[in-house]
Amino acid sequence: MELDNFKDTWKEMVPGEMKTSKEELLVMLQQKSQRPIARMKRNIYWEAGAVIVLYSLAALMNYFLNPMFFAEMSVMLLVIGVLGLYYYYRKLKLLKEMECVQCEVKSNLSRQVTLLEKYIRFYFLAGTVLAPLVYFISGYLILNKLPVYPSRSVSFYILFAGFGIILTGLSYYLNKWYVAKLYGQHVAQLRNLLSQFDEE
Amino acid sequence: MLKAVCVMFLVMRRPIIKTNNNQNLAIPLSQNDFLNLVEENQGIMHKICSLYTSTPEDHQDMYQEIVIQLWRSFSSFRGESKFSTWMYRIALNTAISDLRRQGRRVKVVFPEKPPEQLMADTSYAEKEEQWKQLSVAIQQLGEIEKAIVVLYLEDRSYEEMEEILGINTNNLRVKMNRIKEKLRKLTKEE
Repeated sequence: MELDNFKDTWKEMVPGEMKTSKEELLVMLQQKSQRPIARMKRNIYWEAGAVIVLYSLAALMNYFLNPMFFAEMSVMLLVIGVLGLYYYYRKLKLLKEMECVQCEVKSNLSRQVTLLEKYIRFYFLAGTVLAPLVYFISGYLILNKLPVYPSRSVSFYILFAGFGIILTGLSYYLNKWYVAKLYGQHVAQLRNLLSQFDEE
Repeated sequence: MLKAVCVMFLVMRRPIIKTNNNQNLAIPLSQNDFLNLVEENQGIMHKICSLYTSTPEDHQDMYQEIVIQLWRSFSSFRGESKFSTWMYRIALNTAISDLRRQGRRVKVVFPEKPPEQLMADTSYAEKEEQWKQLSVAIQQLGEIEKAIVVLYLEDRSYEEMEEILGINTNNLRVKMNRIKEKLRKLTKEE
């Protein structure tokens, strides 16, 4: 059967009852995009908003409740909050660059693969570093600021560092698994689409 | 004076869109112009959705997504390429990279209703059967191959297809021959 014989049929074909009126189109224009990238962007705005509010409140409360004792804790919260905002800013920037629907299909897909991989690397790195970072900073503050603290014998420090290393290892593997679960299939599908351009 | 120069500059650089009815529209366009253009071209968008989705709900969602993407990009359309090229790019980019729906593509809802001209034909039954076979075969192609077939059936030149898909003309010709061969084999098997 020849494809060329069906050109006329294709052109005359009206897809079912799918004609959309201007009023329906206007309603569509008011809707939010449901594409994964658009959803991820919206989530980032919400998360960043929550980080600003929660970290600022926590830092302020901490400072006013016990200004002398836990001033460092407030600073730490603010530093983590600022790092968090940078994290969201970077993610948002990558997501905004990720999609170019007006570009050629091939270059759009290629761009998506490259930037999604960059996004995943950043997400993985940030997620892996976060747990040991918080553990060691909190440990340092608690050990130096709490009036009552465990004896600072060598074995205690070894134990403390040992837990930190285990936590880092766990964080690495957990993040690796989680990132693969979240994005692994998506990247593979994008790569598969891209490979279809070069299929012989 | 400066304002007048600015207005003149803006008017002079307003690109022209040629619609299917051979009307010339100058940018910047209003929402109403946009709606007219979408209404005029909705047939092709629905056909693309039919090829890339499996349920009426997915079809409608994809169509809505294409309209949203077109509207969002509309303000940045400068008329450097043809309106149709620009529209196909957005529609195909939206359809192809919608990976969620690809996973659920299990049943074939294509073909849609054949044209009345075909239905009035005496050999309608035979043609309808052929059309069904071809539609089922097209559904079995890869996502990029489907895009090539859509553009081919829409009578787009290889140059325009290159502008839309980013595959060079020679490669497109080779791919098109292979797709035709593939469709021949697929329709024979059924």
